[in-house]
Amino acid sequence: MTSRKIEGPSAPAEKQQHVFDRACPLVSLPADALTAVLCRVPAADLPAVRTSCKTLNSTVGSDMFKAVRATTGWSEVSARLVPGDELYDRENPDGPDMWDVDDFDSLPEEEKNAKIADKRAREIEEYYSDLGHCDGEYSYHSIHVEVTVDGDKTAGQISLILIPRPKWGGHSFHAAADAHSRELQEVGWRVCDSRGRPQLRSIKEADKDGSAKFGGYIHVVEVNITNDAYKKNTNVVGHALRAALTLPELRNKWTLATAMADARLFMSKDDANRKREVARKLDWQDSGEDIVALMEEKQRLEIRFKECGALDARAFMRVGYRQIPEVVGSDRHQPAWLFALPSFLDGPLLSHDDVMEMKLIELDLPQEPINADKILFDIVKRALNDRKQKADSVAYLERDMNKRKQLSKHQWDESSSNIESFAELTEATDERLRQLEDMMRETNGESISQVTNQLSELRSQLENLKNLQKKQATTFEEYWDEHTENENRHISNLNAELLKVDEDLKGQVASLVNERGASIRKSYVLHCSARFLYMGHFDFLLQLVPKSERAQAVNDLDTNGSTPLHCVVMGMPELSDAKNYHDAVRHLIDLGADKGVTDASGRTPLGQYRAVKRSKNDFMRAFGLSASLRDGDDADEAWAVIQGMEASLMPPGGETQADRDINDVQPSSEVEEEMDFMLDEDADA
Amino acid sequence: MKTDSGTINLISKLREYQIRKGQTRWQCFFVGLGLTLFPIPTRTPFTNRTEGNDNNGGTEIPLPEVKAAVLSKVIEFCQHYTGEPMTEIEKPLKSAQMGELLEKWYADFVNVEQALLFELILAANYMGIKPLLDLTCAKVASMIKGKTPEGIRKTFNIAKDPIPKEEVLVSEDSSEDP
Repeated sequence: MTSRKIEGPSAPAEKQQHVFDRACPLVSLPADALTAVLCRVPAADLPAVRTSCKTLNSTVGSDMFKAVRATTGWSEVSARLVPGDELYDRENPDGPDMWDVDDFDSLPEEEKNAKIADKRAREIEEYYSDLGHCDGEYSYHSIHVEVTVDGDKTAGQISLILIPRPKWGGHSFHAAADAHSRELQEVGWRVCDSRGRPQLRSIKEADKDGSAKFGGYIHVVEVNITNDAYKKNTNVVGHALRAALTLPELRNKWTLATAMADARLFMSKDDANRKREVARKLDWQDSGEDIVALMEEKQRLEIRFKECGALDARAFMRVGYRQIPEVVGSDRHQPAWLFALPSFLDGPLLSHDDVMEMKLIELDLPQEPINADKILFDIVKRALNDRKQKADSVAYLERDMNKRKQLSKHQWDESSSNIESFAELTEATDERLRQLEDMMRETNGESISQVTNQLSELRSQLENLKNLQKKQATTFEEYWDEHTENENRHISNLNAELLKVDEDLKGQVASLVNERGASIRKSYVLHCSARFLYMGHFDFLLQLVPKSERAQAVNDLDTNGSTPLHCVVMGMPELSDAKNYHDAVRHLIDLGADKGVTDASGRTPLGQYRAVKRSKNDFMRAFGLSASLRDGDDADEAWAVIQGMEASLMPPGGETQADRDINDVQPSSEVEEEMDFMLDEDADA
Repeated sequence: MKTDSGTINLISKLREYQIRKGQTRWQCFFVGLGLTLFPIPTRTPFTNRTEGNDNNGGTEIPLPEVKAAVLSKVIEFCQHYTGEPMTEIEKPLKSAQMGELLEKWYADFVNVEQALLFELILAANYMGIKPLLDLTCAKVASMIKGKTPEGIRKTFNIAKDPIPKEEVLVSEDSSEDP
């Protein structure tokens, strides 16, 4: 064999006119073929490859090599859990804060170190665990995982949260999820009941032996791949996630995992910033902006956003995660939610091609309003919001006045009964006066001043009594009106403003529809007014829809896939508002609303009502307000309201599976009930 | 030689076919062999020379840069591949012995002298035959696995112009800082 001649510092692989030299074939491969070969070399052997020759070193050191290795799946991704004490030292590089130790600086070095070590140990004990941060009150762990790609430790991090679900832990799951973050509140509450047991059909069906009901619940909070060479690659993301979730420290620590796909990982910074910018500009509709161009750009960016969300979802699917179908459509802008049981992670990582063949469930929902329709929507939404605020303050004032009125009436009645008894007293006093006057005539000398004093006292008393009697001459109503003039004026002003809001709105809407061709149906303002329970507005808007389309318009789907009837029952039901809700429901049904239309999650308006009712119960339970609607003080009334609504909303074809699922509560075992009882006793004590 | 004449026949058929259909050479090549297993490479070196009169958009085929001996190996691979699928090579590379990674036939297939092995890599890369590229590249990678820098140079006949160790280490060190 002849030794190969080195032609110069530049690698032959980079030359355009490539000459393959059979004598030393490896280094004379064209760049792409050389990369293809070296990609397959195990990470442990790469240092030797790099030291062997310049060409190989520069190839392995290039970003292209890293990116190709990542895309072809040969890069070796590993994960490391950062334990609590290490996290503590990272977050407190200068050691614990010793401000609370008197004269710390003047202590001898040895004592200082002992105190520092002691405080460090105490703080770690209190706020950290072997798994990372530990929340003392709700005992969840924030877990920090470092991702290494081919020995590159700066590749990225993954943040996880682990909430323990002890078998008899009471109803603390929702409170713990809420305490952690908004995202966890959203996912945790939707996916699990208050004990943390899965409540969605797809998860319950996958969890055949019920082992996902208890044990740790783990959620992927954030995946952050920092190195650009590996970014945008589901290989690295998927391997990193799998490595994180199967870390030995987490073995048997969790039985249910969830994740919300996140478009941010795959979306470029520029696109993400521009998306926010465009949304802001469209919201404010600054003058001089080309609205049509902005709308087009918004659409392009939204498509990109969706693609990136789907990529992230697929990275999770490669790990073994499955999409949660029930949650599709909870927000049209939100990428998929996913879940996994430990057994899903047993097999090898799925290939990119495998998951590309899996369908992500997507919704074909109506487009958001544009141009004149968008303006119409904004106007109606703003006006109804304004109206709602004003109406709320009128209602508040009136409620307040009523309370005060009752109180005053009570006082008035009391004083009236006093006045009656005073009348007798007046007569008696009169009598006594006369007697005294007689006495005066007969007496003289020093006793006269005494008598005069008594006399003037009696006169003033008499005067008071007479005034009181005069007051009784007016009625309470007159008295009340006189004293509440200001408040009444304020309320009537507000009411006038309300009328004006309505009138202005009607004018604006009519001109938008008649002159600028805005569409009531395409702007979803019927849904908007239904959401506010403003049936007067609903009727007015419906009148502007061509007569032949009205029956359809009452059942149109909005951009979230809901009908106006769904919208009516979206608000939190309060007992005080029950009549408003029920009236609105009846009104829409009278107008021909179809009770059987299902929304994106397969729920009829009845299902929507149940879902809101359930989340209200969850809320009250989580924050210790009352176990549920039914157990409150107005239990009977609430029960009647619920029954009434259920009856009115029952679809002619019966409830759907999704409607039924919402009421399908996991039965609690006797032991759980007993533990709840004991926990409640503890809390009460 | 049987294979060579067969190959030449194929190539001439191919020319005809390609000029008629306006397709790339290797696509036609495998159509000719009754093998349509492989995705057509998107990057194709055959589209730069168009024939002026051909309004079907056909391109003239330059004679293959792949030698007949190499081509016959490629055909052998393709024909075997249709009968016995190749196990996907596990990542990362677990062994330096190809026999432990996949079927014996494939391990034997790449057990050839280096020059031919590298020409197979070039051919597979050029023709976009992914399984063959996987196999041949993995073979070379397995020859690197577990070797010292000196061993690598010796195996592949690389002149001794080693990167000073510090240079490699420095670049790794600097990548460790966030």
